[in-house]
Amino acid sequence: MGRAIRIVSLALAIVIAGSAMLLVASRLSSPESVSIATYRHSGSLPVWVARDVGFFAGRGIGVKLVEFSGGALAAHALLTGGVEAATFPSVLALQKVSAGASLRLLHATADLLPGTSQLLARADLNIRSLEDLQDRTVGFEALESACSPCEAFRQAIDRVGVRIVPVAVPDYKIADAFRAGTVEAAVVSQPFNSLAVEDGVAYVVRDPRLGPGGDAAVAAFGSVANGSSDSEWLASAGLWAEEAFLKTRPAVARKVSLALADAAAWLRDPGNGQAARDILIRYAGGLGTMEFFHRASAAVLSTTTWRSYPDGYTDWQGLQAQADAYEGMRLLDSPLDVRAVVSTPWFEP
Amino acid sequence: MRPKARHALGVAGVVAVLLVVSLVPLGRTADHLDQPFPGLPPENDITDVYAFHPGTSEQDLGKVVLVLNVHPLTMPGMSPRFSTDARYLIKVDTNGDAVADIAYRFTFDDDDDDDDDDDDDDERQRVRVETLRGRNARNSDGSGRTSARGWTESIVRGTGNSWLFAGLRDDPFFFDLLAFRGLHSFCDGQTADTFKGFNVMSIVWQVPTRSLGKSANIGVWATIEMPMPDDDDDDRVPGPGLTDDDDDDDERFVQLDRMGRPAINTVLISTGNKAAFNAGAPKDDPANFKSDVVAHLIALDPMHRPARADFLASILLPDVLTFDTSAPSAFLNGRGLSDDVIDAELSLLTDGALPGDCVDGNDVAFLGAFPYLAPPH
Repeated sequence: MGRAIRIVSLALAIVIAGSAMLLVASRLSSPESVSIATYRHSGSLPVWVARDVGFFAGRGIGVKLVEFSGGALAAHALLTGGVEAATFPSVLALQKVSAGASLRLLHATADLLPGTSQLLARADLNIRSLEDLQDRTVGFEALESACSPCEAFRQAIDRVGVRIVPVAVPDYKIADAFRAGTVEAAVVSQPFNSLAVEDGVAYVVRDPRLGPGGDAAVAAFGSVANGSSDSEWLASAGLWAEEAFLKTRPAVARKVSLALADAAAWLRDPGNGQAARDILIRYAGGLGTMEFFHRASAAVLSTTTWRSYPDGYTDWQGLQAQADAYEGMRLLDSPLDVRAVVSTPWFEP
Repeated sequence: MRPKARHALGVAGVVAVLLVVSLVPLGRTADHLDQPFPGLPPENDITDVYAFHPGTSEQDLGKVVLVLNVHPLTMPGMSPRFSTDARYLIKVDTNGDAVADIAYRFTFDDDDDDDDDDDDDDERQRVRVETLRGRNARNSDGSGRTSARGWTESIVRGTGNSWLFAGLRDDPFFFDLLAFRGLHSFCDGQTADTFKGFNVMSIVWQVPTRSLGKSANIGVWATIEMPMPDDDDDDRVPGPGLTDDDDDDDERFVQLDRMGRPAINTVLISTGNKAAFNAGAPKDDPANFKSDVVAHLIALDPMHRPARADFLASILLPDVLTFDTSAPSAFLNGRGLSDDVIDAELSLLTDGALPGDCVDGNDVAFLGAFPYLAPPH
């Protein structure tokens, strides 16, 4: 009996030791893994590119991707530890930080260009200035809730004392709304502003008080000097992580950041334009034909510039502008100094 | 130190930032605009499915109301039409195998017949309901018995004490979609019902409870099928559940969209699988989509428990709206028009960490009588 027990014990010990060795070996040979949540939005494109083109793998990182349709769920997954990093709108991130969350901007990739949101007028009308909007029906994607571009345009209109009739119109239905006469003008974001103009349904109102490109939303922030002759608009397409992740896995965090910088460089290469559109369609496609998707993705990418810096620099000044503006909208509990938010173990502002 | 000019902008409250503007249209919630299928027009996009008793009295428990809504975020003043090519189907499983035992097939027609005196510019459409049972209910081309025939925008009495309404109605769904997208937090000062003031195209079909079979426990889901040429489109619709004709020369009906419970495809299925999910059949859901659903559930659970995720996935799949018709309806037992399904599902998926969106009801009152949904804006 005792001999049998010894044999069984020995066999178990061998199995356990063997399993442990296999586990260690697999850990040593397989890439380090990180879980990332994205949401169906072009702000997640750098992550999708880094995965699909192989930049994560090239940096020795394996990525477990969890796709969400809404940024709220991606943020929830990050804040509860369901994933180690996530993309979601900066307003939500700054709200969470303002409420006490220890979020850090792991990497910021994209800046917006004028033309991201524009005031359109119906093709058969002669609306050339803000004053021409007097008593006109003007569409906004949302009337009662947070729609930042809507708010920027509404305030630009308010400043000249013009009275309008606001109407809620989903961006993607703007062409129908113009054709049906539901609205005479509308604030519309990419890609639907570009598509409406291309289709001859509407034209862009280029009142200089709406800023360059007729984009009051981008103009609201102004350009931010980045220390060179260039200027940037605002940091976006952020990948967020909790501070604990950066402290406990700094090497992995840095590799993730480097892979996103690789993705940004790839996105900047005009030769990759079609491939970039294909990836965007694959992950963020919605209602429409493939022909629509190609036009829409091209329009979205035409007003995005993919800046990125492998040393961890982010456009903190642009982010600060956002935080100040959100505070003005009472979306933040208190003023934020975003430099702490963008700090990383390898970057000191 | 903040640049002064920028601070002034903040004080002015001028805000920009949708980050990089989305390629994704606004509505993406219960099932609105959930599919990436190329070429799908809004009249073939299911927004919501409901199954409920009209009240709690014994008489009301003897009726089941089935609702299929399409055409999300229809603006007031617009009068969209149902597709005359599509087959709109509400399917009922009566024995718990996630296979249709009854199918109600709704088809629409624009043609004016010679026995009709309506003006040519009449915006109404003819509507026909067929009831398919047994094997016919499982076959897209199965033959059925005509249960009602009439016009859109009017109440039609069908056979066997059934009632039909098809037409424009207020969208009964309520949700803070912008918070879901992440443009602000749930329940902050920006909370609003994104669907307030918008309409949908509704099919409301009321039948006697007893007509749904002997078992009180049913499962309900809806599908939309469109005819497609059977030549070069094979690679456009991935996944299972296609309804092929045998004859290659014929057109075939392809399932474009489907929905049982709210938000299953929208929230728990990855983008690359959404078209396959929409084209699929509920009975295949556990085999085809459980791993995807589990991955999402683990990430959303504050404790990230695989066992809980697996258990929940086995409840949520197959994606059918389960309904014990012997009891009053209230989500998750069926789905009534006023049920706050978003609060229920957010709380369930996040184990209470996200208790809801603070939008607790529709923007207009529902009707106390058929067709129950409020008139359009």
